[in-house]
Amino acid sequence: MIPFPILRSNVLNIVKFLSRHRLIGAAILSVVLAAGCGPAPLGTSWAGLRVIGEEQHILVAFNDRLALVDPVDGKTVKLRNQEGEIRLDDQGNPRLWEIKQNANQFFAAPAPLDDGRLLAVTYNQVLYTIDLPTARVENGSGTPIPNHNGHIVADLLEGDGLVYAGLSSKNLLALDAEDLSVVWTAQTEHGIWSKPLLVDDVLYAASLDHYLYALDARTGDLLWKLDIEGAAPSAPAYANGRLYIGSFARKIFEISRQGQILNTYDTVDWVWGAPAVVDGILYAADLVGNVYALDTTDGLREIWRVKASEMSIRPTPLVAGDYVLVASRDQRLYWLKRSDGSMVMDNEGRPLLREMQGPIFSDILLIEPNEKTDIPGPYVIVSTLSPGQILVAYTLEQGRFLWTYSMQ
Amino acid sequence: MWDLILNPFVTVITVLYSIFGNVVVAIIIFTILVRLLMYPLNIQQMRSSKAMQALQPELKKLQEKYKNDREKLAQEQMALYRQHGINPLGGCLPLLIQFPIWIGLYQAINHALAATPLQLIDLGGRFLVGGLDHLVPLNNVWLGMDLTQPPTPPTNPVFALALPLLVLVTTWVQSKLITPPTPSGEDGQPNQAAAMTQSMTTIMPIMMGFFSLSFSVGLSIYFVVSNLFTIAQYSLQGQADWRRLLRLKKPDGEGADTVSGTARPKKPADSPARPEKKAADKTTQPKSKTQRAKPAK
Repeated sequence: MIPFPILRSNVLNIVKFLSRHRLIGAAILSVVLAAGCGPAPLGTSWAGLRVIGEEQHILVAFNDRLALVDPVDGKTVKLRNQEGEIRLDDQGNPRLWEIKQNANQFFAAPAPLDDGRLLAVTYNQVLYTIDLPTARVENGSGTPIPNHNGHIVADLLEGDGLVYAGLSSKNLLALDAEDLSVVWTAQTEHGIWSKPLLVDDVLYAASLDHYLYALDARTGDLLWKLDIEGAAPSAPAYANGRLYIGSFARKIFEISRQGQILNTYDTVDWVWGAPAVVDGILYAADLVGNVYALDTTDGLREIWRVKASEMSIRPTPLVAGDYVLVASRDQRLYWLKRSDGSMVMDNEGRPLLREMQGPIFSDILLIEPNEKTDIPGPYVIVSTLSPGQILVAYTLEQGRFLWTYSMQ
Repeated sequence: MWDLILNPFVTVITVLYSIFGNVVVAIIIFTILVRLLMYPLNIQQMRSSKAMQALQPELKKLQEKYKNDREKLAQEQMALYRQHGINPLGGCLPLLIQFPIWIGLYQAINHALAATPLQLIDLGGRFLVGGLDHLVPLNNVWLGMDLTQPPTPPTNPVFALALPLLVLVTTWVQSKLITPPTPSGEDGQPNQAAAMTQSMTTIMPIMMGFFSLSFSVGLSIYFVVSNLFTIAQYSLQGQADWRRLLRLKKPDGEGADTVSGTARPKKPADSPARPEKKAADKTTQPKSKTQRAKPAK
């Protein structure tokens, strides 16, 4: 053991050295700054998710990978030949539906095109067309979007031969789904971080510039824009001929299709996720963990409001059966009663909630049984930021754990 | 715990943005404000450093005297510090206290600019005063540059690359100005620690310039302002050695290892440092440019 005076002497020598050589101290500080406080790494968003086809395969876009996951067992889909047999690689292992782009990052969920292809886009605006059955990238190293700066975190939207992409550089683009050329560009005053909403040839896009835009989907002409008093990082919901959107103004708006505010409701904090409107009831959550149920037939009258979590709730609440499911940054999935917002109890009389390995920001998916998806009942799929738990599946009833999908 | 530093910082940046309407002005003023708040700590650190430097000759003597008895050496060193009223931690503690503030400053700028969804979500709930929601997200474009992105094309115009260069230059100037005079050993060569310090004055600016290529433009602006503040601070206190920076010829009688000019701290007349220093000066005199030039003729 080192005697204390000697230890003290050594410490003093270090202190003296640093005192005399402030520059070295400053260099250490620089290294600390660079190592511990560097710019946020590119893992700066949550997984983009999309349910594809009747099989309800889950398309996951996260960091440098795209993968297609089978909802039945949570495994990557195996590629098959035209005869339906599983394709094998040189080592005899099954070929999997997985695409890795080491130099690129995917945050936006790809858009399925009418001809069976997928259109994926990276954070740095490189477009890839992918043959869905074979997972083959058709355009090699990708096609950059020309003449546009900025990044893409918003999911792509397809419709009538066009693909719409919101950019962080204030632009909303319509691309030709065939040749990926830019058909039109519309500009806002700040970034667009959400997938637009397409209703009857009108494109509704929410921007961080505090405005909701309505554009002609074919030409990009501005029909109207409406001040919603705060940044809006999610698209509006559409129900019963009206638009519903929350913003950082701590408000939920009911808006006519002509761009007039019909009603507003004050929330406790910022609203990020798009509201869900089911049977005339609007469900939304804010970034301090409150969940709201509002009557859209009665001027956004509050039916109930509960504090479900102590942390932010980013995803849109999932309304299914008698439940409202909300997922939070506190890494938990909560089951609430649709009637009054109280916690659902499990068979043992405890609140029904599930803990995950990472915070949850992606929207919750619902997989329902059908002829092509051999599952006994509805599943809910949650995506976390933890690569070890990119997807987790539970039964809707009682939240029984089914499987986990990782990307490690 | 970390929020105790970060939340007030983020709030102040946003309030400044609301006043001036420009995020770059907000970053500049905020950096200056924080540096002014840390000014007393800087002063204490500088004073302590100077006092420690003045004691070096005596400390060297003690090290020589008790080189085989480290316990006794430690006791004598402490006695010497007590005698001169110096806290040996006085030079280092302020630096350590400043660490979290520096990191907080850095993180606050990152958070306020909120370039990504995760950063923007993290910004929620950080404001300590109401009425700032309508400012979010801050307008992060300045002179055509996206402040949230690195300065490299294509995310930013080519002229944004001037910022890493500015970071490099201002860090270099700052390093040169604040580096204390290089003491020499008895053989006239700089000692190991001094050589290390000297090499750091070259390595650190390059390192910072290199980092700035991957940091956001907003952070580069913060680095430049912070460096300029340090330069101004040292200059106003007469601590900046512009002569050495510009490699001006030293006045006659001054050795290469000493620092000339107004910035040089005066030693007390009774300090034993003076005769030793003079001796060291003499040994290094032949290293001056004029002396070296003669044999070549």
